[in-house]
Amino acid sequence: MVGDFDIFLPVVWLLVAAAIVMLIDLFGDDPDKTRMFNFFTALGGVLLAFVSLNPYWDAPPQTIMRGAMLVDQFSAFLVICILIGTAISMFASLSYVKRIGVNLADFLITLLLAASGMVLLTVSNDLIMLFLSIELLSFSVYVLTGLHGRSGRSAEAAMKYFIMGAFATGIMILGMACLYGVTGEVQLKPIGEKLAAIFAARQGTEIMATFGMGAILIAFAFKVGAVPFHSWVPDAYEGAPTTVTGFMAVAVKAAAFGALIRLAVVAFPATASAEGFFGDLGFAGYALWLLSALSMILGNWFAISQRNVKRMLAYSSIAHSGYLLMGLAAAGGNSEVYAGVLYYLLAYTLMTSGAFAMLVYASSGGRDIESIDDLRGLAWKKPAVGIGMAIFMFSLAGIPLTAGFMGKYFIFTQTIAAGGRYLTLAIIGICTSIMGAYYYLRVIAYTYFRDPDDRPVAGKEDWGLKFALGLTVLGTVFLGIFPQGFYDAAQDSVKELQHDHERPAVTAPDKPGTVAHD
Amino acid sequence: MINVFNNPELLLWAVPLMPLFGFLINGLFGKRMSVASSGGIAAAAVVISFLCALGLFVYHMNMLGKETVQSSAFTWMQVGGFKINFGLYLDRLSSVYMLIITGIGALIHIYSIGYMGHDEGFARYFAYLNLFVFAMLMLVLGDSLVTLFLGWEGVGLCSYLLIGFWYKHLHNTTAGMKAFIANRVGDFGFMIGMFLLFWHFGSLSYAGDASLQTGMQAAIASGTVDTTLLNWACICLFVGACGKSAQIPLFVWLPDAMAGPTPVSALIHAATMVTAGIYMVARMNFVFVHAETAMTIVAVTGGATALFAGSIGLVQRDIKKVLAYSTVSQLGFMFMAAGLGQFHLAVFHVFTHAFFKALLFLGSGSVIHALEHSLGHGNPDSQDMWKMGGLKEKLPITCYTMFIGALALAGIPGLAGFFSKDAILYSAFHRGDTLGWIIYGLGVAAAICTAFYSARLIGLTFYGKWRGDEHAYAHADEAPRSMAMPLLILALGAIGVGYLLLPPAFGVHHPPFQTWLAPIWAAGQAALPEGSKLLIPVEHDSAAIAAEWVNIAISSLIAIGVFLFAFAIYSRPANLAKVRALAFRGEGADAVMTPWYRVLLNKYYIDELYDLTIVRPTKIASDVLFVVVDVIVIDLLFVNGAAMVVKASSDLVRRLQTGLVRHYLYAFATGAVILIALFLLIAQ
Repeated sequence: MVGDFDIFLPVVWLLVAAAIVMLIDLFGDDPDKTRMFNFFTALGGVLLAFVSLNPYWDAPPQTIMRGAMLVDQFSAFLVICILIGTAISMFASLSYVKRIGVNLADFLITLLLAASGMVLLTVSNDLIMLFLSIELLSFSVYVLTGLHGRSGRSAEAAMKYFIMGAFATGIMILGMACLYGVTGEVQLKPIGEKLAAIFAARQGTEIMATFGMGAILIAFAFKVGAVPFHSWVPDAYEGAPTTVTGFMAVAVKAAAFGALIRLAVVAFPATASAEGFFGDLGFAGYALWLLSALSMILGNWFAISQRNVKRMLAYSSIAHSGYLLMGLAAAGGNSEVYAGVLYYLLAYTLMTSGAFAMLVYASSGGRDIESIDDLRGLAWKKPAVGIGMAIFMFSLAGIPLTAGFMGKYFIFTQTIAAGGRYLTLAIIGICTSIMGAYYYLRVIAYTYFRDPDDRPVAGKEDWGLKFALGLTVLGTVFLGIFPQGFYDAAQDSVKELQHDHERPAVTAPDKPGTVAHD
Repeated sequence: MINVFNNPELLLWAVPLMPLFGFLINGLFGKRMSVASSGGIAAAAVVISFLCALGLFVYHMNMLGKETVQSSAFTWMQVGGFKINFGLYLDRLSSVYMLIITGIGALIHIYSIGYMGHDEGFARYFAYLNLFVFAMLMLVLGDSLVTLFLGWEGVGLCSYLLIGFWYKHLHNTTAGMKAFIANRVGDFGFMIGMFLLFWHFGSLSYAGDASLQTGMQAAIASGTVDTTLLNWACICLFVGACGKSAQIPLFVWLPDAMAGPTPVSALIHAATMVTAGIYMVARMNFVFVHAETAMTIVAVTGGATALFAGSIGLVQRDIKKVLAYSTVSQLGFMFMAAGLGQFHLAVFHVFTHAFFKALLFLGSGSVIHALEHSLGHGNPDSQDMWKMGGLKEKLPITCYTMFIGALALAGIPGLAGFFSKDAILYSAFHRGDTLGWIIYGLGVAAAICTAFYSARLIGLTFYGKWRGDEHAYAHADEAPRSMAMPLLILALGAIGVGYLLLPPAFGVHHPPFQTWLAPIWAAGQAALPEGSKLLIPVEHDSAAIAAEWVNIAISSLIAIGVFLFAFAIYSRPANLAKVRALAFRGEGADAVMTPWYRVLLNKYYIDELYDLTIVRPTKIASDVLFVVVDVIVIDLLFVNGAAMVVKASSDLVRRLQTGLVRHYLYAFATGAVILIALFLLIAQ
């Protein structure tokens, strides 16, 4: 089917680019000579994938591959986040991977495979596709984490991540088996309908259904690094090569949150078995509340005591998962909140991948920035580090006129509007983000107000890194000053998500918060 | 070119954007440029901006008769019913401010090329200065209180950066911090005021359909004006104005702000930024007229500040400190006028004050510049008037232009300061109630101080005998042309601009300045009841004119008499000893300050009072908090107690960080079991 293929193109381009790079690497004799060619092939793949997103945009949602995939503007928005994260990671790695002794081709191939796994995850419309794409992206990311083979820590991080990941995968497949067991369906929409019927009928199978949904939620909580399933995050983030960490932090999160939202809206029904607990995720709304609150509190709290910058950013990413989960928890069928989440994902992609690229840029003498002490007075030696770092940290802390502020603004206002127990969640969020400002601003304080050490700074950085930094700095500021267009796009994206998937009606449709909104 | 000139919106955008370009060029490439090109670009940016402003003013507003020029750029943010537009709005009020900012700003930029030529940080200096002009223009040209507030914060930031410009001296950075904190307190009030207005009217814009004005008119039409709320809103806004415009109790930062380069003091801390508070009050006049209590507070605060700061100015030895207290005092006069409802007089005093105070500051800069040659940069002796004298011979241009500035400041008839100050005093005099007499008393007393310290400044600096280091006197040279030219132009302004608003007693019933601004107050005036004290008088009967002549006679006598008296004392070496005898008892090292002198010299101990009542308690509170929270709660409970807590509660916090995979898995499994149990419980 030609039409299907058309729509499949973003993934195809990524895979084709990966295959070409692989072949060149296999038959080329000198990796140095083919370096730039490989890079531009991979970049071309990403750009073509970006261009071929066109039919996703402004078009009615359509299913392909017998309903295994669903293509709509929602997935397009997430794919954009993913591709931006991938491209920035590629640009930032241009000379970095060479410096740490990794073959660029290996890096690019794995990165492209991970990206295609993520793209597939955002369009997955049945359990099998969901599982396969998660595995594709997970294995690629495990490899990326351990790519820095000479570093013991990198290997250790990859190993830990892999074992934990295997555990999470086990839980996920268990959950999927349960859902299949009770519904006999693999596609999300029929699952949703059957589940609604099960919960309405209450003949005992709802226990297994609950278990299944809970298990899947836990597996996703693991992927986005929410407390208490976050323990791999600090180790993996610290051990992985810095540009990979940036990629992991943003792209994995975008893909996993996308899939989770789709699951939440399409497959998990709102149940009405008790009073007041039930947002759009049914009983899971309660669990999301807990996951979000724990992630925000512990993520920010642990980050304060970290002196290792990458570890600090790891805990910060846990906290940001908390803010995003807050948006999800408060959604309650309100599409605007999902728009806030999407906007936040885009903002987070830009500022976090920028912050990690900045760490690469700030590194000197072949050594990564490890401790915050390595940043002492660096702003005076490398002014770009000072300004760029300040912008990213302001944005992460959520200070006005940056993308991070607008993201928080959208999520928080909508959460507060949701009222009730979400108001408590929003207050926790506001308190913890004030806490968070402490460790973000500490980075700025170190770069500007501490006396520099006498380590020499590296001379010229390559253009790829500069390009990545320029793009992220501009993006972070632009999204902060002109948020409207992006927010509108996010709103359009989530509108379709809900319009074409009338949520299955449940027992008490008149109860506020359980009604499907248009 | 013609098209650009014919397009008012384009011109309007060019006005603030030119300095922004200048800032970007200097900020990005300034390090590689010479003083001439860096300063040249900065000055050219502001000059072009001034020309655009002039084009708008002369061609579009006067010749084509456009009342307002608006340009809405984009909707900045829209979430639900909350919408913030971002646009520019030029009307008759902002046109006056726009011309002051760009015109005087251009002169000060040119002056700075000479003044900062020897400073290695000149690129940074010009970048900040251009950024300041941009922010200040956004403040006055913004079309809503939100844009105004953005500019408000922007000028605050630039002021902070420029006060601490020579950041290597600790004193300068602490002065910057002081300004920052005082302004934060004010900003807090301003924000609350804005929220109250937004809550009440649902808009913060003063242009377009759904604006504050239309909200106010609707409230008046339906008879639902909530004066209590408006009073609170106006008081909060005025707290913001107190911070920015250095009024009691937040004025303490301005004298310390003199640590910055002198042209900065002239531009930011005399002519433009500190008058932003008056702009805001004048802009919101249609709200303020409904808040009589707030207006009384404004007037009394202004009057008290005028006298208070003026009396401190009497004894300062530092030439810039005298001018700083004088500025605080003159700002008090402006708020006095605003509080009496005479907004046009407040703006007029802003206008005249901008000329003569910028002139005085630039003149003092010229003196400091001349003395620093041999005394060295940052030497306090270069600003100590008791170690100057007789500089007339060495710096004739500076001396005569500053003399004109001082005469204008003192309110000598015929010069700019006389007309604006006299009109303010008259409006209090004419009011005829208790408040009017109180304000009048404060104003006259402050005017006496003003005349005294102006004469003292000139006498001590330029006349008599040189009392400082001989070497410095010998090497003091007149400023270069780039510094002298702005002085001359400003001196012309200090003489002439007062004639734009001659009093009715002179037979001028429609002075151009008042006529120009009349539409701004029209809505507010129309809402006032007949015979309200806050009305701006339009008709002048013979009794009023007679009263005005009386007032003019009193002010003139005071100004001339006090000025001559003070000048006679301070310009003659013989009299200086007598003055000293007034201030000190005893001779030489045993000399003891007389109590009144000590109180004034220590600025009524306000800094100490704040230290005792606010700074220390805060420090103590934070120390207590530190002990309670950090030592007891965090260290004892969390850090030391953690071991116990964690052991007791199944290794949750500590073990998570062991790095051992089995512990991670254990935590994972525990979490999963708890969550699933939770789901199942709820699902039941």
